[in-house]
Amino acid sequence: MKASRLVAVVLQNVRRNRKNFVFSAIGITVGVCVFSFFTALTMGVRVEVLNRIYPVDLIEVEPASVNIAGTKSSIEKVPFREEGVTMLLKEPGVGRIFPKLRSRFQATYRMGGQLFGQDGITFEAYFDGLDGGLLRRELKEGEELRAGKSVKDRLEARYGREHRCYDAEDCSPGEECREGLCQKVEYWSLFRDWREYIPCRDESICAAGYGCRYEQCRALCKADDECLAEETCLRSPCTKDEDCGPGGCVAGRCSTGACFFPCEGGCPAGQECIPAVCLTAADCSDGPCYEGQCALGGTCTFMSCVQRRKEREVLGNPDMIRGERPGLCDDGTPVPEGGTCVLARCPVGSYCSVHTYFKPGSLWRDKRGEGRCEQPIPVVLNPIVMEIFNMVLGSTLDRAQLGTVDTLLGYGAYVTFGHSFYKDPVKDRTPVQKHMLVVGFSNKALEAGVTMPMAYVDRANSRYKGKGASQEYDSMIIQLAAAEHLPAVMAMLDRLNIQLSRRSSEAEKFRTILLVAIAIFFIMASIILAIAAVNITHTFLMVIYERNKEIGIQRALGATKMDIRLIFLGESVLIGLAGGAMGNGLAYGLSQIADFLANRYIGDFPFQPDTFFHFELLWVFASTGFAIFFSLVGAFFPANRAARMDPARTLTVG
Amino acid sequence: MIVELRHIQKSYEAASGIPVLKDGNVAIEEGEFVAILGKSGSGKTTLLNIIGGLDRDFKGEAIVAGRNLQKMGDRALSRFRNETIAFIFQTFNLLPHLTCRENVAFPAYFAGNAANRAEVAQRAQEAMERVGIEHKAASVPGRLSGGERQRVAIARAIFQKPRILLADEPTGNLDSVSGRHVLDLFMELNREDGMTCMLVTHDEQLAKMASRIVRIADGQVVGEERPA
Repeated sequence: MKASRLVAVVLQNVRRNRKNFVFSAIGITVGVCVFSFFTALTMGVRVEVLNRIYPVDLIEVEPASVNIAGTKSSIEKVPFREEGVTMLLKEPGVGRIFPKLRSRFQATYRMGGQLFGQDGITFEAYFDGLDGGLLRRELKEGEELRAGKSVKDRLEARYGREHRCYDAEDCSPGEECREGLCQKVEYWSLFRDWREYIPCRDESICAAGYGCRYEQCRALCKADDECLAEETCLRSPCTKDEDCGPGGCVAGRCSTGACFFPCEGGCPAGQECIPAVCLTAADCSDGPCYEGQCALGGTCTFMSCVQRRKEREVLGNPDMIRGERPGLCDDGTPVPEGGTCVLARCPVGSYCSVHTYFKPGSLWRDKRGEGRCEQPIPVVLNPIVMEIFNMVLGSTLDRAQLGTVDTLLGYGAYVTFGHSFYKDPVKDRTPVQKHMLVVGFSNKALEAGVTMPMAYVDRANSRYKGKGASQEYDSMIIQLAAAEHLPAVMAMLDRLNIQLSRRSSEAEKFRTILLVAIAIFFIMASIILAIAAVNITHTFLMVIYERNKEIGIQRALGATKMDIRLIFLGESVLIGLAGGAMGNGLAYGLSQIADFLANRYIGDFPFQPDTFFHFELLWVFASTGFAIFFSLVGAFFPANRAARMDPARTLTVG
Repeated sequence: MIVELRHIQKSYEAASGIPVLKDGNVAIEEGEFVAILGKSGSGKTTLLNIIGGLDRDFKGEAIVAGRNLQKMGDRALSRFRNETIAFIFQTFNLLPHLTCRENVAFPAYFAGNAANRAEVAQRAQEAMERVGIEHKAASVPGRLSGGERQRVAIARAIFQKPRILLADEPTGNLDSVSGRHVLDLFMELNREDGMTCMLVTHDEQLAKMASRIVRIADGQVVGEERPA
């Protein structure tokens, strides 16, 4: 019998036996509905909630260690250093690796009134560092994705004309002056190491690769290409090896120098060179006074916060003074006795860092009361922070919700390194306050703290715990090339003795629990479908009894046993199809009702998804296939029985 | 010989081994119109079922249209029924949910040939015209009289242009006028199309319309005659 003819006969039979058909399909519908509804719910929890808390393609790993007589020893086969990263990157399934460095000392955050009320709140700080270069791409994509289109397009849409500017002060908040035009700040691009100013007395306070030069930790170098783009590698004059550090004196210059910003090419925006003429070292902005010249005369090594000429004039014009209070300098400090506010305004985007690290008696200020223009430390938040604020703190503190993560972009806060509510400051290390600027969101960021470029953490660790405090990465975040590589990567980690971080282990546990839940619902649905199959068997046996003469006629007209069998099995396939479709439709309808009721009667909570259900076409097909399978099983015995009927007898006796 | 039955024995288990056919020997030439005459329970319907390939559970040898039925598999036998044999039943055995046209064309569902829909419709129309029921093509059997239903059944029987037509008490449920019409049709098919007809009946008068009468009693052929 040809397939098209079989379908025609099956449809004829279904049409006239609608009641039996519907009755048989009800059980299948219920079974599929249960399966589909709970699978969608479990998948929904997994996709909409769990994957937001624990992204499926990110695994954080830590060095495996054993505890021998109270001492922890690492036993990993892959070092948690740069060479280990290179090794892991060669493994199949590994997309990118983000090494992580944790802070190893106490610190506190202070967040202002913008979020928590007038005075803001201060709390214990936890932070870690990720490689800026690796994370910037993700931040950029996130920023543009949230904007819906590129930042530039958005700006043009907003202004529709060229908005000329001299510097960021001419622009609206959230914008900066680039190439003479006001443009939206690209926060992602700020996530880099700005080499903040760190005073020092000796090398011990400086991070690896830094040396204490002229009481400041400066990056060590042998040539210009080892410094930042604008810096030069300045090697001190010397006469003998003792004048220099490691490497000694070579041809009148120390072989190892430090990176400085030279004046010749002009100072950074908003700053100018300090006059180099001096009588004593105190007159020098940097370095000792040598024959009337500062040792580094002509170089803006200290980059003091001295206003540019144009801005002085602006400040001198009372009509144009913005925001100053009488008797106070720009940063709110009193005007020095008999002096003027040398602490002038730093270039927009930077701030005047007035805190020193090693003079407790001077109230965290350096001897001149001067600061250094520094870029705030760029930090990245985990979206979880936003979620928790919106859902928990927002309501308990009676603050409005922050809306989207973009609300927090550009938000400033403070971190005080070395300060703690629980511990005394590290000896000889005065706590120091730094500005922070939220420049992006990433699920790789710390959940209960902030993530900054790794160099900051490295330097701060050295500052408070001494050189070499961070020899190895604390962990590595492995981004899978695709989520399906998870099992392969897990096996690889096991092979290399690398253990999951607590968080990734938790994620694994949750995923296992959800898998078990799916298995339970699968079993439940199977039981219902098995009952439905028995029901189909009964119904079909009844139908065969009713149709036995018809079967005889069909046989007399040339139907084979297989034809008869296929007609009944075809009807059962239709029952399965209809039951599958109705079951899935019903499950979807119920999911909509459940979502509606949940939104209406359950209050907001962190990570509340728009929907608790996640329907996947694959599962819809799978459940329908499952339904068809059970229908076939139910119809198999009756169909065989129908095929084996003696046509002569059914036509004579029936 | 188009039908050749040799020493056919058949018994139903339910009847505790009592034979229905004891020693059936029947030979029919192609194009003959044969009436099988016997009382109820004499085994004539069983004989017909064996010839039509509906009943394979018997002893002896049945060669129909040159094929030994016992040696055929289910698929071959089904095809044989579809293409070579046509059944006419006393109770018409039409499918009540189908229209007359659909009933007539129903054998096409099981046919081995790949006739298209238009061809099937054309052949159904021709078959209905042949028995004069084309005006009822769109009606369901429930709305037809007995005679009309039997004509639809005959149209269905001749749809595949079979070589042998097996009719089991075809007029049993018809009034005399309708029965006469049906018999006329059989004779016409036999005469004009050369179709071999076997008519099973217990009615002596009806049997006399055939070219040969095979009498059967207690499962045995007890005599043959040619009506004048």
